[in-house]
Amino acid sequence: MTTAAVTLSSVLFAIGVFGVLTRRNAISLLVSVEIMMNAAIINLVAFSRLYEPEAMTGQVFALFGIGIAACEAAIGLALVLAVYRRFGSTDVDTIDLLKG
Amino acid sequence: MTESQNIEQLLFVAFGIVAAGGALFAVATRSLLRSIIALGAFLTAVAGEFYLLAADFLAVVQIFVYVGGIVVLMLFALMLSASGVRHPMAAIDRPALGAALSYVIGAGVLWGSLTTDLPSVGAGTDDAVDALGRALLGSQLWSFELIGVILLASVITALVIVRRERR
Repeated sequence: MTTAAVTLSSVLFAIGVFGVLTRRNAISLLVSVEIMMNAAIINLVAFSRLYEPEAMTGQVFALFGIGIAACEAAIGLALVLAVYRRFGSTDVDTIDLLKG
Repeated sequence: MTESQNIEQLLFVAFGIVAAGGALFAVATRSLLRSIIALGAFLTAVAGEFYLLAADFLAVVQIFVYVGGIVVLMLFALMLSASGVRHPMAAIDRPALGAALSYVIGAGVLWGSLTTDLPSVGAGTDDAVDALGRALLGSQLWSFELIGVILLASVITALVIVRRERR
């Protein structure tokens, strides 16, 4: 089961990388990052069963990963709204004020 | 191998297929709305995987926080940032380059995980929720308090960022 979980995690991570590389919309980027983050969390949960299952280290890590993802989504979407108000678009290529 | 183990493995593969399909649809569709709904399906399938990996509490947290919180938040952000557009679409740039790079990265990670000799299943615990609760209020208490502070700080930050300035 561990090998299956790790395999699934690698596949999901690759899908997330594809999304991050090909998307330009800020909300799509957040969606892809969430997919990559879940791929990592599946690994944590899978390994939590193998090593010191009584200590629950892996599951505690996974719980904090989910919490950090919630923070990231809240601040990321607030930034998306702020950018939309200023630039009228959520396309990350239009935010080029610092471009040389 | 007992019958219940067989059913567990079958369910694991089924949830995995739904998760991979949802993720693929989320990154490949041009419609932003469908992408977010597919993300919700993906996250629900991952919650199923958590349950099968003996993390009952995490499965519930995944549904509450991700599907109930983050996906709804994303839908609201989409509606607020696409005013006047009935069906917001987003371009997909350089798909060949993205596919090639993600294939290389995915193949590398997959090769590493398949060539490593992993034990198939550990002892596990009988009562995962009980053990997790003891860990959170025992050895991991400081990190538990810290995540609360971080969540509060992020909520205040989000409010400050989206606040309209009064003139």
